[in-house]
Amino acid sequence: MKILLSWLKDFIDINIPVEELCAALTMAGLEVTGADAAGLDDYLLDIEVTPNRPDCLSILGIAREAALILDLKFKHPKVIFLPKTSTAYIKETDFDINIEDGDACPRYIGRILLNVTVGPAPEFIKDRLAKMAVRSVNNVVDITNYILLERGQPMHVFDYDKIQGKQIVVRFAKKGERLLTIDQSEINLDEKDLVIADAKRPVALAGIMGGLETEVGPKTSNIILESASFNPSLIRATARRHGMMTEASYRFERGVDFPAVDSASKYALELFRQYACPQDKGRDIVIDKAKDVIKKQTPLSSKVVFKLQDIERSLGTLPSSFWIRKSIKGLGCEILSVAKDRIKVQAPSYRRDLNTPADYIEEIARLYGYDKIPYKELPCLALERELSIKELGDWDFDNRVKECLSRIGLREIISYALVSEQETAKFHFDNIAALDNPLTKTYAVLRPSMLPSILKIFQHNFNRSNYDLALFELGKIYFYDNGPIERKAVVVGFSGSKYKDCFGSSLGYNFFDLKSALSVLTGRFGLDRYAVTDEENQFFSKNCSAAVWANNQKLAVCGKISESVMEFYELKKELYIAEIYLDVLKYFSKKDICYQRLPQYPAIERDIALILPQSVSSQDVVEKINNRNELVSSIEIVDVYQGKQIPPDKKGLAIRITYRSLDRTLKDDEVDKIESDLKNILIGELSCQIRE
Amino acid sequence: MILEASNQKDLETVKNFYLGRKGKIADIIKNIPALPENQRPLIGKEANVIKQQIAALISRKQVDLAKNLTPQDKIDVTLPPNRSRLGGLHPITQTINEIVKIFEHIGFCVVEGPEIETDYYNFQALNIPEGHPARDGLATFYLKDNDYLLRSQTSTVQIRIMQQVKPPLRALSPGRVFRPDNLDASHSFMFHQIEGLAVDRTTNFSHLKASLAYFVEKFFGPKTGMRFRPHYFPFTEPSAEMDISCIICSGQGCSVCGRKGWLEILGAGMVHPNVFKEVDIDPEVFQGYAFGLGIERIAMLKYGIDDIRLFANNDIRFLEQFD
Repeated sequence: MKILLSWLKDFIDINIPVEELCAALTMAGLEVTGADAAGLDDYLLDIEVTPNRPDCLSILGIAREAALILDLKFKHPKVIFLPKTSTAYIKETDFDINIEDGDACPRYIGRILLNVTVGPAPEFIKDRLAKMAVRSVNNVVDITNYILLERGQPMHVFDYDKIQGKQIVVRFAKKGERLLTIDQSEINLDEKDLVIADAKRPVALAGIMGGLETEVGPKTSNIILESASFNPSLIRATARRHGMMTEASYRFERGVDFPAVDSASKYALELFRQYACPQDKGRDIVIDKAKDVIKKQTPLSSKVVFKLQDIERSLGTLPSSFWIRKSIKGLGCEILSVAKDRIKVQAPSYRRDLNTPADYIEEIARLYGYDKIPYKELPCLALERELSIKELGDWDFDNRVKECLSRIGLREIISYALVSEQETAKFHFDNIAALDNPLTKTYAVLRPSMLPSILKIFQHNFNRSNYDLALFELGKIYFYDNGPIERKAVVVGFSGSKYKDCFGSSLGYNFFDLKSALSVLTGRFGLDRYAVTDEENQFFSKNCSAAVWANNQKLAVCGKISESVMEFYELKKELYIAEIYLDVLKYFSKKDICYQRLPQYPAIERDIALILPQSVSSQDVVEKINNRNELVSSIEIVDVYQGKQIPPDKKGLAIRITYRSLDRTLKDDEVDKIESDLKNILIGELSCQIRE
Repeated sequence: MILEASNQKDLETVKNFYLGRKGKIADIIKNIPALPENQRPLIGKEANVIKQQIAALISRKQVDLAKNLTPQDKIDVTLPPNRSRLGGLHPITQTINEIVKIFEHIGFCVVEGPEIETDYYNFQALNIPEGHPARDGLATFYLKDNDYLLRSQTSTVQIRIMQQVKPPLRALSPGRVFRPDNLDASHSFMFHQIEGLAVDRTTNFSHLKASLAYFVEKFFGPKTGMRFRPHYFPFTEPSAEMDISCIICSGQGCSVCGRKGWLEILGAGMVHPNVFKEVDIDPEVFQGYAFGLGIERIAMLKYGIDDIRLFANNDIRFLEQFD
């Protein structure tokens, strides 16, 4: 909301520098976001008016507020008394106003003015409009704009002679009706749009914009001046439906002051008399009819009773009751009664936002000054309350996951949760949650997988020659299947090398770095057993693609990004990615850390070299001999080899078994016995050969 | 040869010549089995004696050389380090964690809420009915083919918390929010907010002021000035916006604060009675405050970042600056 300082001075005598005025308005809730010089010794203030204060959408409203804040005298605009009108033209200018729906249009004043001279507006109006960045059109239009800015009441002027059937009808549009508006755009009207019509057709989109055909032009001499009140949400819906936000709709959407509908119309008449009079003497503008149709009185705000203790209870402090009463009167409110500590009040017509005790407490706090309200520390909250609230959500768990991954050298990223429809189609995702009103095609669907997001981050980094990357993101994946579904997931990705020195050695990331991240996480949360199986996936190469299972629930998928996916995302380097589902991880995680005694007796390590069929996995070997004997404390894979000594359809695997007892030192022959049992199991059940 | 060696490298060569795995001594020992049986012990013993003598000579020479190192003996200590990688958290996560930590000190704990929401949680329950002008400032993404939307503010969690837990309570809720704003240096369609809510029988505006003052002092430093301005939010009344003195120019006026000397950092207020009624909490008995702030904005101010898109680009060279 722009306010010209000199115009404001029509209503108050401001005796402080503009900076002080701006600060005072800002600290009372009318934030001044800019004050630009506008000519000599004048300023254009930019004031942010909050949606609850339509009364401040005018020079007059701001002046009234400033007078209260700065304790200045507010000079009310003078009340206009109309002269007697001639009756000579009554017949000629007979017309009707017909409002179909009083909820849609509670009040409509139509005023007919004859013998208007359309021409340029007077300089002071043109000057003020120019400074407020409103284009001057002609005296008629400029006068209505002038009043809109000064009083906050939008008005419209029709060329009387172009209105058919001598009637104004305020009604909803009919199916198929169209309107050409004064900005030359043709609108297909909706049956929910309120229009102003004549006997035949719509002539204006009510409260938003007039029609071109009945526009006032240089040849116009008779006009109908409209001043009305419309239903705010109706105007809002229509303005949005047609994308037409105007100065008028802005004010009607928030609600105009009911009495001002009339006073603004009379003010306009006075200005017309002064600045749109015929040049040849002897003839005056003749007002024949001024019809004021009130279909529905807009109710005043409620009478409110509040206690002084309510103020203290909410603010933590209590201004004096004298000050409170003075401020309430200053707001234009009427104090209906004061009994003990209770005050009964009613707000003026222009403050329909004051309806509850809380509304008044806010006004009192605002005028008192938020800076005068003391600072008081919060008392302690009972611990059991804290704990019961903490149960809601995954905050601690998620933080531990992030901390765990960053500790092993991964860098957290946060990417957009929206991806393109092209991506979800390419990767055949079902049950996607797509946006109805996306900004662009690139960000149109909530991601059903973390992979598209992280792949784009790799792409961004590769394009800037950042190739050695170890990244993770903890986020959500989204679906819609009879209702929205949000799942927490972590994606881990590696590219390039993890180690480099200046002597030419380096170590690249591979698939097993994914498993390392996974095992660090599962280890951290006490999920001690999981199985890895080959499983194809739309993102991964067929020869390096796996699923990870915890008790038959899919905990993760991981693999090497396939060449076709690399091509799709224009990725220049190979990369390995795992997506881990946190709901599964959390479900199987153990909450408590339990100390285990460190071993007191030495262990014996024995290596076994195996030759296996290619089809047998290392996981098969370990699972076969795991848990066979309580003295086996660990089984490690120490070497995987293929070469001259191994037949081509076989592979070599060296495992190291650690034997340990918690209560004694093991003897060699004991271990020999177990080892030979284990060997026999492997030979018998997995068709292994043992290399001695 | 040992005595002639003029540097460590030469000495190493000599050492390998005699004592290496394929050196002279090893050669002799390897050939012992081929000797006549009666000579084997003698030769073996001799070889060992010679080996020990050579080793002693070499180590003595090593000590000598060490006293007088030549350039070839030294490694170039100015060579770059082997690369080791530090993991780390995203600056947004770090900022959230820092804020959470501050409020945890005064009894708040973290609760999360869904991002796909209904009109009820995002608007109606927050005292923003259909057609309310406050909806203008809260443009929203809607889902296709159903009635859901993406939350445009974390205030939704206020309702979800109070439906599940009755006061007294203190909760924080960080998370993603979505608004149909085109991407530019200061706007994004996805960003993060953190919501705070404290409800008890007597929690009032002066508690709100003190809690936020504590936050500002901890987060921005004890010398940071602050002020509360009246504002309007449908779900709080009285409502306020909090400004801090510009941390770039210390309140003198610069381009970051628009020459005002103040930076708006959050919105707050006393929970509106209508919001309490919506969750079956009696506003005559309980009252409380709520506040909400944008994480990206706070992080941009704190670190002097001039483009919000940097957070989502995740350029590793950007991320590594926040360790």
